[in-house]
Amino acid sequence: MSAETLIGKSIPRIGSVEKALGRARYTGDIILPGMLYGKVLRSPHAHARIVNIDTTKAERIPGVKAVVTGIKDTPRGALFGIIPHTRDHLLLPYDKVRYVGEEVAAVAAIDEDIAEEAVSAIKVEYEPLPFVLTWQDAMKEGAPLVHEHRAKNMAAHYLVHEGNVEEALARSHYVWEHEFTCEVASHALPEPFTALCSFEPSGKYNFWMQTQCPFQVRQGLHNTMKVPLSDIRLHSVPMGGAHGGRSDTPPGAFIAGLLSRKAGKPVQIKFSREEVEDAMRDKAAKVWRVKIGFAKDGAITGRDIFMMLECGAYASSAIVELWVPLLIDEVLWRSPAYRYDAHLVYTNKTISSMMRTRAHVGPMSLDVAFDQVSKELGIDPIELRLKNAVLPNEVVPSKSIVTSTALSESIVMAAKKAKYSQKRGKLAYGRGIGIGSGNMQAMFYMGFRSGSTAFIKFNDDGSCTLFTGNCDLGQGNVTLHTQVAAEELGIPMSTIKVCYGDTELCYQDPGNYSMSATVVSANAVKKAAQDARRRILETAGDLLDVSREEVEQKEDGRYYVKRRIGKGTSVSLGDVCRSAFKRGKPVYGFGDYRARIDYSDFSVDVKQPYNEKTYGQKVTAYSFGTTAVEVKVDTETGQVTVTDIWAVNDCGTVLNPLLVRGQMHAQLSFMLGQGLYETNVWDEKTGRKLTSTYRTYKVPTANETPRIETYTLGIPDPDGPYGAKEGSLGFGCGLHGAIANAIYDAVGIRVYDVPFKPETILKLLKEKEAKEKRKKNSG
Amino acid sequence: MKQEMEFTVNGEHYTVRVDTRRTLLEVLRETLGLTGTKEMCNKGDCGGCTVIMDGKPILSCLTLAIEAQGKEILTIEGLADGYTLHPIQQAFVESGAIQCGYCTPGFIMSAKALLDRNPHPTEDQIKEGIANNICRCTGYVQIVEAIQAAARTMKRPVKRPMKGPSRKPGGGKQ
Repeated sequence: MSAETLIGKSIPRIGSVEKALGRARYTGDIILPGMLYGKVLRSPHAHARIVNIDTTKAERIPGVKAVVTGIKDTPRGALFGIIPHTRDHLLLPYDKVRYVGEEVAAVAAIDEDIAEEAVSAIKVEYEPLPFVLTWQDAMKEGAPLVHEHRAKNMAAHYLVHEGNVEEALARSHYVWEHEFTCEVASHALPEPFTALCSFEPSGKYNFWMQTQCPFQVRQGLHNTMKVPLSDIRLHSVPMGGAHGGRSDTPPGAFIAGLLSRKAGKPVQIKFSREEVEDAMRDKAAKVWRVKIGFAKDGAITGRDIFMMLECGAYASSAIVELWVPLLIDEVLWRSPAYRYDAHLVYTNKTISSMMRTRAHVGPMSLDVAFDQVSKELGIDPIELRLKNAVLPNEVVPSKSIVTSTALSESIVMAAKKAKYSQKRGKLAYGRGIGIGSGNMQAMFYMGFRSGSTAFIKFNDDGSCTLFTGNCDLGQGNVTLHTQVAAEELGIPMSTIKVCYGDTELCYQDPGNYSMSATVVSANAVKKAAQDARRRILETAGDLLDVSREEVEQKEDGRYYVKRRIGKGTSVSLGDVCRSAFKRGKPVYGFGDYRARIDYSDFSVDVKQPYNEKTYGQKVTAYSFGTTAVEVKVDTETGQVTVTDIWAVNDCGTVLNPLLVRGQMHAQLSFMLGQGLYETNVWDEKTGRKLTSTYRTYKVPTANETPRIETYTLGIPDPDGPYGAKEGSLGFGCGLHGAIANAIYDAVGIRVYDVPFKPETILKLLKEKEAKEKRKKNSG
Repeated sequence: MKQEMEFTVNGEHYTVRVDTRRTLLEVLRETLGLTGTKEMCNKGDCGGCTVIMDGKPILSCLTLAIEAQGKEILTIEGLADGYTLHPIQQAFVESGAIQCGYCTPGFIMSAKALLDRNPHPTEDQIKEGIANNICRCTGYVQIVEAIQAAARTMKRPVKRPMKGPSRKPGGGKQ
């Protein structure tokens, strides 16, 4: 084994050179011989019955090779949904349309102009229906039903209740309560959705498309196209951003498949920016009502959470939005009694689904509470946090074990770096400091899909290919996995090539679905490398006439007999691989990792996640962290500017500091946008989204970027590879709480609704002024 | 309507027949196969399709191809010397300024244009120089650091030979 470890080395991302050269080939860059261009006809109605679709005129246009509609081409009952309860989504509908922009029909033609012309020649007869755009309206008596089989538009309900919350709150010294909201947010991904499908006469569909979980997407296509899994191949391609927005089985891919089969040619469908924002996925709007009980000494006695989530038109994958906030919220702060009562409600809007920042409301509510309650109880806000911070090996309400946490350390460090205690309450009016903590689950329970299997295949010169079903969205997973394999095998990273995310060549992996690339996928890679190493030593031992235990690898990479006098005989990895081939026992490695914890003491029924008792280890590891921020509030305009961020990340052992730092900046930038600028607006009259461009949906630019200092704690997790865990998201989920507290410190107003808009700030400032005036006058 | 046009891209002279409605972005990607320039928004909001025309950064999605008649275009493919990266590209790789990489060509071309006209920009000038470019994965800190590192390496601006009607003012949009 090489003496110099690769763990902790800042190795630049593999693939960066190709990207810098403009040579990385994204989906939209691929042209196949005979490729046709697909266009989708979309619903202009937020809610309407499809009465008739007439495609005759479109079909007659020269150059048009295929036209598909739900009525003719969608297999009956082929509903998409990640669990049986939420199979409500026809990827090309034949009954109703449920939001503006929903797919209705599609065309493949020899060029984009003809495809566009043909799409506009399709005549659809709709029977418009009344629609609902908010959960409040959706739940009213007599409100139009988005799905007839779901009364009151209730898509799903999820309840976890541990201990007796009512009793705990009644006995508390002090109860704090408030309502928080967050608006619908968009991923606003750089690369527009593109899918290329080439259907082979044998019945096989070859897809090139952006996806962060190829095996989940393949499953969705399998369920909706009704073909065997082996007939669907997702090829691996780099992609321009994901952030959760590429986890679903997209209608665009399903339609490209239908068109390619019908036309007998490859079909590329590329969405425009507006199509992406209208018809892909969003993050659900949330209302989060929380009651928190405190004992006199500041310890939390119980928490009661009620959440309403806007699902959008389909619950198909939005259901995840219902579960995941629990996985985040129940962990950070100890709570002997805990109730999480969450409701997912249909609306006639863009479908909600996964997004990296979905977790922020829960952590924010606690940080804002600590800031206020510390005054009531006369306890320092940092002390109050440390008193309640979860500790290693604690069991959370839904019965997952927190294998490692350095939450307390992160709070102390962020406060110290920001000089929080010295600055709080002492900065000039308009400037303020705040602190907030966050966390994230790495891997949540997905049945047999929770695990990853990796495979390594050696060539006769000692170089090898690593196969993993995980993929790389740009975080650097390929680099990370190569680094891990090289470390275990004691070979240079340059001799390892990674084949990733190809559903035909790789084994199943959760994908980048629940921050599992480090804890789950890299552990599988590590085990595969260890397995290969065992075989290498075995063959080397045979060549050296000793048992494998007596073989060692030296720094020159060659294999020697451990006990030797003088230099001794040695064999190279190439010798080993060639000899192994000759003997008919090629060198390979196989590794599988899945978290297995016995939770049989709790009544778990994973098939029905709506039972009151949905307990058991859902999460493999948790990351934590704290951010402190300094803000400037312009009292004339209400604009909040974050000037400084100090971020401390408890991501376990840092495998690659360059990658972790990159991920930290990424998360802070994303959170900053959603905290201050990003907002979606729908037209109440038409149900049309009005914020489908970068001009209307404001994301941060370089000019909005504050000074940022990033720190890592390096406290290892027992299960993570070399002690590493998720390092991209958790630490930054407290940013909104930190900003809210900093705004209070700056100008004395409390904000509870994300994003913190200038108009809200101005309104609250005016209210505060008026109140102070009244007080002065009456005084 | 189709029209014949001539222009120089990355030092290569091209004569192509283009539909007058086509944008420069479409012609670069589809006619010349230079797919390094990316389409992000196709409406001038994001800087993803930035190329350099006669020394000035322009948005190729808002520029008709025929506007490039007689002009000299530099795209991301024309920066490196074979496989030897341009100092800006090298700095982007080393600084971790590339994650998903989709916005990268636009950023690098904006940075190139900035450093050509201002070899020693301040941090604020760098931010201003890339304020038209949107990134969703990396954040902007490493990108700014990469441009600072490139400025240090380059010391003086890399001047590519220009010919024809180049350097005339007002040649570009933005």
